Amino acid sequence: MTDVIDANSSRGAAPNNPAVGAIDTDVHIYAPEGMKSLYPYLPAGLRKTFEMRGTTASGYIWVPQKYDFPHGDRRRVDTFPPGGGPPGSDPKFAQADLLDRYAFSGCVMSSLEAGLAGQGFFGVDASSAVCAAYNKVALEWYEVDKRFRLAMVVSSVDVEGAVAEIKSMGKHPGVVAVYVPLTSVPLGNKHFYPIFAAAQEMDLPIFLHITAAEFTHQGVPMAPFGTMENFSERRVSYAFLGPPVLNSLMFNGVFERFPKLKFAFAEFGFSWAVGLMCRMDATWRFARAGTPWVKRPPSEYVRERVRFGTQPMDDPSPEDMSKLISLLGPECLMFSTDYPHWDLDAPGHILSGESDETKRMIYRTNAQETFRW
Amino acid sequence: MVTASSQAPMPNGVMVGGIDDFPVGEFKILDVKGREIGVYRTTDGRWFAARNLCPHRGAPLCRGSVGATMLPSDPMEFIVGMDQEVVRCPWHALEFDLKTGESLFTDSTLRIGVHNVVVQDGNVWVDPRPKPSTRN
Repeated sequence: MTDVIDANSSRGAAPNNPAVGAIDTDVHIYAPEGMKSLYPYLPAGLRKTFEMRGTTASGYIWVPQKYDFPHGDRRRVDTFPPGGGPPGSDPKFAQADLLDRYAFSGCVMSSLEAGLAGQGFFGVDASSAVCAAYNKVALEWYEVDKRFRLAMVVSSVDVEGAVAEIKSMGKHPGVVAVYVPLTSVPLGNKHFYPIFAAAQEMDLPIFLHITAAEFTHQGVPMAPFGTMENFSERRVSYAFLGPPVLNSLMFNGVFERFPKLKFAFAEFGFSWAVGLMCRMDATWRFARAGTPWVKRPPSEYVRERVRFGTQPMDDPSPEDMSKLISLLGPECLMFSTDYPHWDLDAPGHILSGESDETKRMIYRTNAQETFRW
Repeated sequence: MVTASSQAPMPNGVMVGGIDDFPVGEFKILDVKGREIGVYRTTDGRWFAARNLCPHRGAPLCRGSVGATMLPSDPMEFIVGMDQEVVRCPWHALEFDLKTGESLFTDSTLRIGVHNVVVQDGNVWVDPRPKPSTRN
């Protein structure tokens, strides 16, 4: 006779799970009740204005509906916690559904709702307070399971507030990076240097991730190639957001100015980085005298101090992926799933053509050496 | 109603229940000889069975939606087709043909496991062996 079974049960690690002990460097959490969950941590006046206006935060962002995700929601249908609330809002469920299921030794969480706050969506003056409240909610997860580590978010539009938050929250053992949301100011601009200095002082790398507001509002990065017409065009365009960020950091001398600072690019992809490094190296040879503070070939700085999350993997054959990883340098990659989002990469289904040594680096040790683990 | 005298309509067929055990328009996921298989009953009385596993990244395929899809068409033309014959993976939204298991309209060679379903005397039978590929 046949048994009716849990629809999620077949989803699990492969029999020879290569990801035992892995660190998942891109996991997203959501406040269970949006802005209401932050109330206990907000200054009274700010809380009152949000209450009066019914500001929700989790609902959660207006973007043109021509960009709707294939399933409507960016979050996976099978990650809604049985007890209610949005995916990524229940640490006990995520602990079982992600960390235990795949036997991960840790993960790096970020909140994209909080990233919006850091981009100034609630206003410049409120941005640091809302970011700080999100950090406090997120660090409650660390108390549930020490494997939940946080890329603490800071405001990119209130640098003074961001520095204060790094100095206070950056000491927390659950914090492993500083998440700096992208704005219309290029990341290599001196506007960000106080944030970089504070992060370097705390031995924390800079974590970069899109919030999905990019290209849709003034104040966040706008596309140099005009607006996009549909979801496919927009999803591909996220791979075009990484190059200008890295280009700006490189030729404004950020790697020399902050000699210990590392950068983690999460969910930008990485296939573009190979071509970009070639272009930067060639340009540096021709035009070095214009930026003499770039003392070494740009690709050397990248291989030393820039790391890319593996998700979303562009899907060539395993043989072509091996060539790509070899051109990039396996030291540059860190495994990531993007849980609980729809286009995640599950362990055991990626990196099948890599050597055991490369897998060990990508699944675990590169992340250990990059984040303050 | 399950009757003891039911003869399997296919070799090694597994009787998985009576017609009324299967709600219309949703997957019922069963353990069929150690394989998780989702059985789907359409509103117009067709039956499909698919393995609850996406070959792309290992998703629980049968948590995905079943419906129609857009057939390849000219720019800004939409042609709806294959009503209730397409399963979309709940993760990356890859589409598969429930009749053949093949990926739809891309160069992907990924294929899901699909199984024959036969309804006989009010009972639903599933072939535990996956259908062979229809591709050359």
